[in-house]
Amino acid sequence: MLSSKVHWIRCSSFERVKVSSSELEYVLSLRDANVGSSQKRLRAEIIDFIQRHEDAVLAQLRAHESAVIPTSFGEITLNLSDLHEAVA
Amino acid sequence: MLALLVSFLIAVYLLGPNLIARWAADLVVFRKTRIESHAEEVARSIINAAIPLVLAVAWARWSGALWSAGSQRDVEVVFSALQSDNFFQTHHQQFFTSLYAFFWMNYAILWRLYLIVFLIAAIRTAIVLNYNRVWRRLHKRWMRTLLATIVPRISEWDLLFSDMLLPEGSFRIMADVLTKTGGLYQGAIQDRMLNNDGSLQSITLANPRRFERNDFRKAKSEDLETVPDEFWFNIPGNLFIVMASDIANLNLRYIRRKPLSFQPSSEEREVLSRLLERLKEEK
Repeated sequence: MLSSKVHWIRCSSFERVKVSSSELEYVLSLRDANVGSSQKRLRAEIIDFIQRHEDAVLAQLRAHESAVIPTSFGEITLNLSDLHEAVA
Repeated sequence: MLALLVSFLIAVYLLGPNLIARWAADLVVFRKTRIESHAEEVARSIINAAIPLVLAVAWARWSGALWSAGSQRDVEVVFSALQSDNFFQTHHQQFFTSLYAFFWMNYAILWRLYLIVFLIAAIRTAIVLNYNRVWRRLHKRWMRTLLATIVPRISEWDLLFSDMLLPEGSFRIMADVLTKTGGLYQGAIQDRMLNNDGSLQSITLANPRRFERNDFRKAKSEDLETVPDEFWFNIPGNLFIVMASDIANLNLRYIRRKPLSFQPSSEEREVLSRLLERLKEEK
């Protein structure tokens, strides 16, 4: 249901924890990896949806110049200009 | 009078630069406010002000501005007169001449000190604002750790919810929130509220949706082919606030606002080109 390649934060207590420079560096590295894996997964889901529902996506683009793609991240709106930008 | 002068000098030499550094840090990050004793605060200020102060004094001495304004004798006269009434009475005229020189000696150091503090604060702010760009140019781990030391005492929640330190480009932070009562919500992080100590108070989700876990389990038990997509329900509204005290787990994912525009692969280009071709043909 939810991506396994993402970082779940255990929030049983939300008290403050001092971020030292090495911890800051570690969190940034984790977040960098999160950006990469999330991006890969999201794109795969969008492309897969477009391939499976090409006619429906086309109908939306024709009517509104944008299409709403349901993904595990939520609904992503693709504008026609974004698609042109991607293939340019 | 002596105590008053010493307090004033501590304020302008130690607390002032520290205040400027804090103010500059607050412009770019949400800092944690720590409750410190007076001694801790003064000790921190001394350490923070030591390097700019040494540089300012060295600069004033090297340029000759410090000793052209006055001498060590002037400093001694001012402090002695303020400490002893007797000394003040006997060196009345000399005191006022030395006080004038003492003022200009301090001026020669102070404007240099504040200029250095402002410059350091400006450089630090610029680095924090362009942190990721600088971070990516450093390839050794120790260099990155060293770079992290310049970031002010940032709240860890600010670090996670802010896009300030994200890679270049426009990003959206998506969150899956599991509450202590078992509710699962999803949405884009619109805002976060932090307490003074940097702890999380609440998060606000845009385009929120709720997952009907019970319905999904029931359907799954009846049909193993059931997919979860149909069990997400949009919540009307754009400001869905979840209090931190209600959150059990938080899953954050950082995605680009234009997910397909960033270095698409040839296969992705092919699919999108075909789609655009069809759109063009059917017009």
